[in-house]
Amino acid sequence: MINTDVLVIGGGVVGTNVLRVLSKYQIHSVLLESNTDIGSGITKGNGGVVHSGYDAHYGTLKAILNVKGAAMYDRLSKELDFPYQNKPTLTVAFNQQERAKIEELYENGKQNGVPGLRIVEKEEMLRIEPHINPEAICALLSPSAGITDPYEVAHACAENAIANGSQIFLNNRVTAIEKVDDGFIVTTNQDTYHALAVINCAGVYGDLVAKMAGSNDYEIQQRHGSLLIIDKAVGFELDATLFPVPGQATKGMAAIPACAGNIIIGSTATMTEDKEDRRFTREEVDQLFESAAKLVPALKKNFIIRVFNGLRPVEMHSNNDFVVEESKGVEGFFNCIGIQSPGVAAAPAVAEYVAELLSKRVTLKPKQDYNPIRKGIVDFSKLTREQQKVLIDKDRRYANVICRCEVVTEAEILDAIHRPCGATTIDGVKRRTRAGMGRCQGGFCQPRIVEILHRELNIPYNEILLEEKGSEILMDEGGEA
Amino acid sequence: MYDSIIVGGGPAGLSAAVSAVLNGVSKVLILERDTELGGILNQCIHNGFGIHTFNQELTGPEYAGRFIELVNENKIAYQLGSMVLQIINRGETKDVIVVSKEHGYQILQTKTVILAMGARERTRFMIQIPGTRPAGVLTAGTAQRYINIEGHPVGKRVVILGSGDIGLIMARRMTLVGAKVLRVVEIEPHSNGLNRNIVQCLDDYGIPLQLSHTIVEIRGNNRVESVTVAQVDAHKNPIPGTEEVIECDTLLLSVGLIPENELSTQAGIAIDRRTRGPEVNESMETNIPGIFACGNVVHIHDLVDYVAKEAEKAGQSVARYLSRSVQIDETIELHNGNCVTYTVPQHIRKEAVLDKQEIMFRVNGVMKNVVIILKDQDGDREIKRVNRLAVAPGEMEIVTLTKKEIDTVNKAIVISVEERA
Repeated sequence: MINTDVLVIGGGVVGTNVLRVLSKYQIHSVLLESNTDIGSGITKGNGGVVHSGYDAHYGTLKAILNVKGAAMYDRLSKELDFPYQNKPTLTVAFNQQERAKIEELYENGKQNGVPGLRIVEKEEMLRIEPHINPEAICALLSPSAGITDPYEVAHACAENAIANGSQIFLNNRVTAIEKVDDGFIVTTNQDTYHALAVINCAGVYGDLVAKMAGSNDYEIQQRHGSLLIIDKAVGFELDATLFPVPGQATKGMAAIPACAGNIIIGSTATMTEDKEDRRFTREEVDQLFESAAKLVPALKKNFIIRVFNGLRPVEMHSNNDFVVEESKGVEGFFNCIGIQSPGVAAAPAVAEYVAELLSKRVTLKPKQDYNPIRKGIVDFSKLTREQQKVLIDKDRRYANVICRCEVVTEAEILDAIHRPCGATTIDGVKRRTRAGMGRCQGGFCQPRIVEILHRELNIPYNEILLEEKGSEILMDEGGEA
Repeated sequence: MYDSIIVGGGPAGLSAAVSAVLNGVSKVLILERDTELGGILNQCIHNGFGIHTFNQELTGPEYAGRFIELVNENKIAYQLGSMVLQIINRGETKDVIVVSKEHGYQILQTKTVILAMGARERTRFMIQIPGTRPAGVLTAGTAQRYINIEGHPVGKRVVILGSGDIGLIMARRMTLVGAKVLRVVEIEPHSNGLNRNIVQCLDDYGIPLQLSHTIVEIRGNNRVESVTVAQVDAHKNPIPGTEEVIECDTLLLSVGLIPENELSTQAGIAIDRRTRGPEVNESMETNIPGIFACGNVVHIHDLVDYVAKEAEKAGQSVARYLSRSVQIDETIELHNGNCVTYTVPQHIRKEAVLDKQEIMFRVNGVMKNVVIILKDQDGDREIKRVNRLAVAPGEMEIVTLTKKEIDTVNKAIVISVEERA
């Protein structure tokens, strides 16, 4: 039995932000993640836009937390050294009907308190982003938006929380939650935990986790979305995230200037009952590409290097709003669920909000020695030649390039593996270093990374995972180390 | 200051280096990113290499070994574990920025560069096979590396998509290491592999080849659980109702190679849209004087012998460039005609042609009893015609023009292929 004050269930972008906020206070906190890595559930299947908040309906919790969270990103990214760039969004109208729609969005955004929002006419729109289809007539400019890598946000928050005394247990799938006099007994496939309070950040499993604690009020369904990644070799970058005028359920299929310089196109939206739905179809690929190509005619289909997808957890009784509250009738059990888009933007604000709710049950006194700073892994490829030389002169492992497409060195991979809550899988290394994310999709570097994981972590070859248990890459007999 | 730096120590790089030195170039350095010279040949442990060059059937490592011996005999310098980050053209000289554990960060100066980086494999995402993204989907070359270099088996029940030579070779190899290869699926109505490989790698092991079919879905969230195969129509679109689910744990992809030209593009070298390799002249020189290219980085070859031969030419050309024996003169272009998808070289400087010039090209379909016609675009005058029994997209064609024939051309040569009446 492991004792703690506050237990967080789920290590996605929401759970890790919550854990980091908890680590600021004089309490002990633990996060349980069912997967082999944090940020490897729906967090990894996200397009990375830090939405400014013009879209969420005025008056909803979603709207409040979105605008607040987005405003926190600049500082957070500096403290935690994760990729974030303030890049505007342009919601592009092609006719008068669509202009009317973006005018509505403008009004809604203004009420939400989104800063700097305005409608720009064609000429200015094309000055901001020259790759937009010149047939477009105007756009809603939202200058406070940004882009990030959501799983990097999760890594950064997790590492910083650990540095401030929190603990993370991976591969721990919660199987039962018992309410006891002094809190909760949480059982996983690995261990038992006792906590005074529990915060449910279990994403698409949020309803099932709440049910275990005796709270039957929630139902999560999934809105599945596929996304495409375009090779940097396509020859241009975008200076703004471009959205079409939104439909009913989503903000539409956007062309997103990802932090690494690629363009991400995403995402589709289809409700699914399957909480592990990871399929993409040819129709989705065509639909995504056609939608994006209408916004940006210069996109080329033969530059697609990856298709991926994610699920948005939709709480079915909340009219598409987020649910951040203490479960009715289960004192000390808090939920951060239904955190669909713009969950990434909102996550830091969700964390502060739930901590405020928690403070009514658990005393939260700030730590004197709390350290808000975390240093990320050096990105060798982004350094100047002079900086690269200095680094190599200090450590020759920076001169050993493992991933040729993204120019990732052995030193970066070793750092990814050996830092707290580090990578243990091929995809874990990929998310932390970009090794394998390029145009050859790991064809060159995967065998080399397998070798490094085997050597550094002493994992038998036939137990090296792509991602989860069951995703073993090699089939050596016996599993000799 | 080097006379020539060769980027890549595979067959193209090795052959180019040896040729340059044999033609009198003295300070040559090969940069290889792997821990050994030989490139992809090292993982091609099957035989069948070198019939044209050595008149013998060698394995890949043996073939590479022949060139490595020549590299050593001629005392050609090489650096292993060395990744070139950038090539900077400074006019008369070039800077090559390279990093390695052994030597750290180096900026090497050279008069010429030969690009010999080879190619990479197309992936599942480039052809957008729908479905999930589990472990067990590998390119054939990566599987080959795991099995032949690292010594790890990668699958037990295997489906292979693509019947090019790599796919066929891997069907046999997987079988020999104990896997069950269920079938090889090919979207074309014909295989692009050599006939001898179909016989020796599939027929001999009873592995079915399914033409005009493709994979329309991959299933399994962690490891591949099945793939769905479907027949395709004349436009390569899957025909609804023909789907068949095959339970397997591994899907190998042999769906084409793409010349690896990130360094070239970054250096400002013009890339041919058709080949995705540098545009080259008769001397295998790119648009940047002093930067040459050869092998799969220029265009995809069927046989390593052709790579070696093309690289030999690049090596000779470096020697001529350094001795300043070529005067830049009138250039003629080569254009695609009927059924031709690309040509290498893309242009020819008439004065630079020695006694003859080989022109390599590919066609866009399988045709029997054809004639290759080369015409002077100016006036539609026929320069040459060559008969062939058959041509196929999977087989590179070579025609040779004499210097005399080239001298008669005004502006451009158009190459076309027609069926004989």
